[in-house]
Amino acid sequence: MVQERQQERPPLPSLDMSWKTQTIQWGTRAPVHKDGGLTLEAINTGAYAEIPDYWEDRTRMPRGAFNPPGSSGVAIGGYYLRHKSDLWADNAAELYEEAISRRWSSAESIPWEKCRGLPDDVEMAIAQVSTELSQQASIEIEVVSSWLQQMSYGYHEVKVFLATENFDAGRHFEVFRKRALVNGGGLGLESPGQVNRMLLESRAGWTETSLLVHILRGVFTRTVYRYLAAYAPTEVEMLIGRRAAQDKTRHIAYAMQHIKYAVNHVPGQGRAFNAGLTQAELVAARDDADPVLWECLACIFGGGVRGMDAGMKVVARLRRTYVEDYLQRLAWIGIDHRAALSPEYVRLLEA
Amino acid sequence: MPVFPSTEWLEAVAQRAMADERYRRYGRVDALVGIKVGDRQFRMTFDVFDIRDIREIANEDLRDLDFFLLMEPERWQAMLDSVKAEGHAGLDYTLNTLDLKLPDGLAINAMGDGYRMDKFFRFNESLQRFFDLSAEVETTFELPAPAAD
Repeated sequence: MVQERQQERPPLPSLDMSWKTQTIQWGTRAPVHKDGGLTLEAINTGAYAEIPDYWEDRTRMPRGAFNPPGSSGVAIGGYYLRHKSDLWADNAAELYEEAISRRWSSAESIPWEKCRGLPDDVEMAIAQVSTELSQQASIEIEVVSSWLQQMSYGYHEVKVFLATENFDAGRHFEVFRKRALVNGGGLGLESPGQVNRMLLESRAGWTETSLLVHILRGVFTRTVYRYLAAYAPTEVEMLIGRRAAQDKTRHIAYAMQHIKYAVNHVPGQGRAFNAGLTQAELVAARDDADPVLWECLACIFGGGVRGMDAGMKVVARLRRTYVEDYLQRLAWIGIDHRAALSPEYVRLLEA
Repeated sequence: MPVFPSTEWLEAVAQRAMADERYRRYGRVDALVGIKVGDRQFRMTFDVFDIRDIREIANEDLRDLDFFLLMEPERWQAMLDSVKAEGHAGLDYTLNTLDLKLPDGLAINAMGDGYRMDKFFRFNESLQRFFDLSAEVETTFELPAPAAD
């Protein structure tokens, strides 16, 4: 029977096997770290370590692969960011591995039962702050994801890192929403939203958007996270603040490296950013004129409405810390912004 | 009984951290970290899950580190006493709180490099866990930690 079946088989088609020659470097072997495993950075070795300054291809072809026969690498839509200076950061692969390794689950990592029994005023203030932080995170998802499709596959390290940022922002969205709802406080007022709109409508380029979403907004958000952790009424807010601040610092780290790279490679960009930031600070100042966030933070920091005078002093310190950190990170990037700082931000420094 | 500050004390904590499931769950770390207590300085290399190259260094070698933690000797002791008493740092003694509430902060990059300094925030939970694990180490204090001869 076996013999009969073999005789019935059609003859094998002639094999093409041309794919065998389609490799830019056969024998590439990446080092595996004893503890850290095989990282995205480590596989950038040999010919695969070459990151081009410009990526011609406007398809989904991975870097190091070949277009199939008949495909000319013409545009199939999007992928407009093809200059390395549009998006690159040397630390993107490292930050990707870090984000994957340091991920956390708000459902399991936060001892939610430990935030019960707070006074109503503090609970209400936390619910309001959580509402605004949750919304900030949802805006971040929209902003980053709207640019992802524009980024070419020549720079996959950046694309996958920003995918983790979206995942982090999703976590921040849900962890603050959970905090607002866990104790019966519920969601409060939406923020005035001038900065949110500015971020969503930023279309001058990804670098400009990153400057706004990661440095102008991101450094502010991280400062709020850190102060919430330091003045936390319970262990829950302390852990949420600390862990969210870790995530946010990765996003800031990407932006610092990327924008520095862009400023060093695109003549005049630093100067343009300096002027643009002053305008952006004026937009932020319109949001800042709304007292809701500051009053709620003062209530949390002061331990309740009766302690709000003391809490407001901490709020002033928070805002000063933010502007100092913001200027320091801009200076590292290569943007000396101190002289161009908006009057509103100067006042915060002097408060 | 390890003396704080000393390489033996840091080694004892590092051994616990490397064997600690929770420390590993916080994820990979990549940072050159120092502590400065009185006139003495120490460095550690946090490399993925390994903590190695723990040694005493000269003051000028602090510039090679991503950041170092600087407090008065009495505050170091108060932080470690808090860790010992509660099994972890109390709210006033977490690294994040100390960094925000001390007039000059806690974490410093000797060269004013904000990018390298930010590793203090990127790996904060791991560093906090590291110091929290000192609760398991029987510690004696030799403060104010004058420079070694």
